[in-house]
Amino acid sequence: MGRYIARKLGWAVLTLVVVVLLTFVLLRLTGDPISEGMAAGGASPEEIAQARQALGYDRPIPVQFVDYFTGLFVGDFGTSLQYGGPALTIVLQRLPMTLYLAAVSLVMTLALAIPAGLMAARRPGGWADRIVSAVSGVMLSVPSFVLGAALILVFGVSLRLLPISGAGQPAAVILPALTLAVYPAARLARIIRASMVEVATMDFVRLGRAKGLPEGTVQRRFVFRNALLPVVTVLGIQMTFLIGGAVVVEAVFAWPGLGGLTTSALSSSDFDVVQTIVLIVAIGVILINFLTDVAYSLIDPRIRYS
Amino acid sequence: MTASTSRMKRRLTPLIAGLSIGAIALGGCSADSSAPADGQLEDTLNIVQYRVLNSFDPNIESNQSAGRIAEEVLEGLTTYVWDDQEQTYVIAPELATEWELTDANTWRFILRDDAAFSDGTPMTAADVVASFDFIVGAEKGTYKSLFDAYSVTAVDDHTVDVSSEVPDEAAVPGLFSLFRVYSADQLATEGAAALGSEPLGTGPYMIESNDQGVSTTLVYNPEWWGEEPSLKTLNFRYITEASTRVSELNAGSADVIDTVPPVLESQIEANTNLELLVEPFAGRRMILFNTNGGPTADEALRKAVNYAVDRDEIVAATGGRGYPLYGTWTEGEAGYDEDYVSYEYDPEKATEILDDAGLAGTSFTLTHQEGEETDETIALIVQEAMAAVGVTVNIESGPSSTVLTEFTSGQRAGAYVSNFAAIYPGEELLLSLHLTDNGSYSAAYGSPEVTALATELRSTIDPDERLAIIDDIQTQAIETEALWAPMLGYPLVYGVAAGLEWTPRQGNKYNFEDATFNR
Repeated sequence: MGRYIARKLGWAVLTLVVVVLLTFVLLRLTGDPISEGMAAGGASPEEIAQARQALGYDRPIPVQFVDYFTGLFVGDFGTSLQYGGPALTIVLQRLPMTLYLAAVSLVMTLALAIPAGLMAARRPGGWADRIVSAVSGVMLSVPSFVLGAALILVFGVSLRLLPISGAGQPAAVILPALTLAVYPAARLARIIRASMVEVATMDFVRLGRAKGLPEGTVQRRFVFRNALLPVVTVLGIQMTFLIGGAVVVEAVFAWPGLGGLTTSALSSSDFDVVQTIVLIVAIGVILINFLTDVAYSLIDPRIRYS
Repeated sequence: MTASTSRMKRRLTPLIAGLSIGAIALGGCSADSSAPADGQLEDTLNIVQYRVLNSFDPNIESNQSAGRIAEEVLEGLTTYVWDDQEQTYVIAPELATEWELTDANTWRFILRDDAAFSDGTPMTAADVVASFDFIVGAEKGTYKSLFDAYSVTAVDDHTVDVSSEVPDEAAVPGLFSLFRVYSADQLATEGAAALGSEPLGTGPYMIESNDQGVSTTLVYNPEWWGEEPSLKTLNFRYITEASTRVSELNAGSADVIDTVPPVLESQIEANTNLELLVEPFAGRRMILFNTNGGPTADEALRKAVNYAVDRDEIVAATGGRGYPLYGTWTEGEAGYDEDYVSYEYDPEKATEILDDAGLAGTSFTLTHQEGEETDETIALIVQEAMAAVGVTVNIESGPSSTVLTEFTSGQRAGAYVSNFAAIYPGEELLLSLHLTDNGSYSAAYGSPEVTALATELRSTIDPDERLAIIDDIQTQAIETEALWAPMLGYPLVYGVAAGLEWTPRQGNKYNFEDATFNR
């Protein structure tokens, strides 16, 4: 296991270096964050050139990159052009809100998907299975921004039950989290259903029943546990998506997370903030993948890493 | 039903029931959302706007939507007020009560002696000087560019001199309506960062909380020199999604929203508890031409574009709230004349001009900013109009940070759909960017004749003489040289709760201190 972790760490570091480099270069290929803003504000070409020089944007990109990369090791992630403060501080201020939304969304996903998947798997082809299949099909088809707007109109405007936007009240997380949870819940319900149906036909399950074990024990210990691996995979993917900040949903609900910050940083060419977000998200994705691997080994003792 | 099914059902039922009850209970606990919002009290207003206020530092954040919040807290030496008789904006006192030209290069401002910051510290000339040094001392920024050509010195505690290299510079009093007076003490003790996040100001409101990029709450500043406002608390939230803003207004959790797209106006009009407020705005959309090369260097082509495009069609296609623009100036600006028509819609005339110039069958590129629906609509209408007169228009789009920079640097040929809204009602700002051969766009286009007029305007104080020069600039730029094809002027459209008596200003101020809200 130690060698496995060391190997994972090595790959993680390499991945992060590549991510930082690619992001840095791609952003700078889009142009110069100084010129457009200053030109729109009435600056002369000489003033723009002066500002570019003062802020180091006139240097070759490799030189800029080395300067930026070495700064990371001392905690200097650059300065936000739109906020005027350290980019890392601004990103870390928004990160908890994204994690919170992701966590609530994950709980909702499981709360919707597991019962639905179990009910559908109980009797394949039965009425519950058909209902779950139909409903999940609809849920998979509706775009998140349409669903979000619909939930706002119903629960926020018509019924006035829930806050529409922002994060100023505890209940404000419900609508955006639900919007984010619907699609993966539908997908997960189907996966649980298919996985359990498949596992239920296996010999060890029949053996369990033959040994006289209660059906609930058979379902829980043999069927559900063995059907969990694909579930963990889907959940891992869902978390990596949410960590990056669900841009559309955060925009619809004005949720103060990384998604909204990414949008505003990109539109205002706030390169340092964008790079910091990408780096933080990359770290999050690597961490989630690692935890997913660990979860695999916990669920299935046959899986061991070395 | 089998025994196992029954047991499974018994185990799941409480789980599902528990989750349902929890959701409903949580929804009930959100009684805050369904209970009367703060805005139903008459001294609190909830405002939701599109643009985010990122900083109170004008070199970091200078766009109008952010500035108008900042200027409820921070004041300039002067301000602009609407003159009903003149139907335009005129300069009025703010932190300065009077001003005069003491010599050819110096404006003297007398500061009011009853102004104080929200911590009780009296405002003096030292604060004005410190604020000026702070603004022009930045490495970059819009305000640095605007004020860099001047110097400010304190004559005594309540007198400052603003010096300009340009003699008799008329723009100075108006320009200093944009200026922001910060606390020199705060700058010295807390540093520049504090001035960007939670500055002390002399304005009618002060900052109670500022969650950067999320929400800002302002409360009445008891140290303000003006009449105590009816509205004591202003809650600002920033929501970029238009449908969400409208939903907030419909749900009663917002009392004012800005930037209402035409397609959503009907939702507000259908609600008897809401109103649409349409206010004049110095917003304009125009086609800029790169006159330094390519087909658009030919004045005949530029004039043909002006004749070929039906501006009424553009108004209709962009929601109907705007008005056809034929000149350089918009509603509320000194040079604006609603009856002025530079180029009457006449496709036959356009065809004639093109034929005479041997330009029939030519083509040019028209660029617009990606994601700007109005700009795209204008580009498509122009393309169709020019096709009707035998000219091919190739439309390109891209991020503003790329295509605008390319156009202003002269690298992008053809034409560009531009959007300009003056951040204060002064002609000099527009001329520092556009039309002159020494402005920010001069690498793409500019006129020596307009430059000469702009230079003359800078040193002209008499209003009638200024108006004559402003008219000449418009004539030269549009009728003679066709540097632009002006397309559309547009107002600001707000959605407001019924009972709100409020007159927003064209410039940088919301002006909530003069508003009343009787729900």
